[in-house]
Amino acid sequence: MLVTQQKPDLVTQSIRQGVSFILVPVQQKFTSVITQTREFFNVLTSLGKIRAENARLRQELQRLQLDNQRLAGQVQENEVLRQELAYKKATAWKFIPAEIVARDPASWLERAVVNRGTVDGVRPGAGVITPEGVAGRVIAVTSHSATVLLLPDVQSSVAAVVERSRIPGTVKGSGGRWLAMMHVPTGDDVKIQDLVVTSAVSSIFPPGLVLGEIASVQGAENGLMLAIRIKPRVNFQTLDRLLILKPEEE
Amino acid sequence: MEPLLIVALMLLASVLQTTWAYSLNCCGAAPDLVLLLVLFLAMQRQTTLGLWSAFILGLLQDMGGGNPLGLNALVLLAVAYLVSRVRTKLFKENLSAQLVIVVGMTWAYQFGTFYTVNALWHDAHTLGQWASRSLTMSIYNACLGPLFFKGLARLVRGEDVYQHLIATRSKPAPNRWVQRLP
Repeated sequence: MLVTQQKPDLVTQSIRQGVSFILVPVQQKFTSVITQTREFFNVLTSLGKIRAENARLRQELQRLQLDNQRLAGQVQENEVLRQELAYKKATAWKFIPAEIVARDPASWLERAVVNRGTVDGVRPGAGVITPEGVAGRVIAVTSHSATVLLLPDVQSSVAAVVERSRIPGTVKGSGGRWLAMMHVPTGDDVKIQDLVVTSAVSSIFPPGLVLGEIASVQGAENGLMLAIRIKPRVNFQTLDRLLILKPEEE
Repeated sequence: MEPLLIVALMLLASVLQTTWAYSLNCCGAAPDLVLLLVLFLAMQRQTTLGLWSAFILGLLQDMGGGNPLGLNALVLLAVAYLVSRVRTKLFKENLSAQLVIVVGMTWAYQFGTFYTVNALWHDAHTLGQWASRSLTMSIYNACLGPLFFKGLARLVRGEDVYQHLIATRSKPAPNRWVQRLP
């Protein structure tokens, strides 16, 4: 049974479909109880901080709105230049908001179940992000739920580049708090605190989305590649809301 | 009534494990309610029921948590089998025995899932990760386990098991020398 899970088949997919149809709404109710309780106590204990953060966020919103207006003009100019140079049109993306309804803390696998499925337009292999950065990708979908493989999972891998020096590599999960960047040769220009973002090569994420920050750089045992440890930008311990990506042409 | 209660407890444990248990995460550890229920049923009930309950609970946990189907089912089945082998040799209501079972089986369960995941995904995790995770989870389960077992025993049997046992143990043992005199 476990070996066939490597390639999903009709029988297990049907079993999951049937069980998730009943289980997911129940899990959603239980999760919403604890989310509301947590938010209630958070509000009580941090009213002062909320006011200060509100003021800070208002200022940031004004700044971002001004930036947005400036960038809108640049997007138009970029599009005109692309057409002139006959570049392929950049894919536009839609976001499907989703909530995590189930997550097993006893499992070695970093996976979560969300409350969006095929009826909402979610497809297997879709990228999943948060406002902070990349969170994972969808690996299984039923009609009303989807299983998300989170970035720290050992099966997870994303094509990435170091933002400053544009050195390409692959970011993989290590099953713990850190991510690892692979296939970076020794001697390449990589420093601590460099930001690592998604590469244009990735087909499931738009380029430029933040994966994390480089926490340590060491020589690997074989001496040919660097062993790079990355601190993920997303806090996976408190993650509860996600955005599932969907190309606009679908 | 009791079978229905056990089924309800199984459903509740699997739903709580995949929803509320993550919010009770502390220092990288979280309670494993499904494992505790498996241990209770394996210790207190006949072997067949314990094994079937473990398998079904594992399947529910796999389906609810997005894990590959059968991962937890097989490991929990193995854990229930181990407990069923020693259940007749244990004084199940003894706190020390319960703690030894909970801590030992948490380590065994974590090793089972660690080994299976590594076998399927080629040495994904290290032994150090297994040891640290097992240690924190076994401490968490050890704190919850005896309370969990006591509550479940009262709920499932519908009587105060512990008071009954204490009452029977407090009666003085009969004096055989007195009885043998004509």
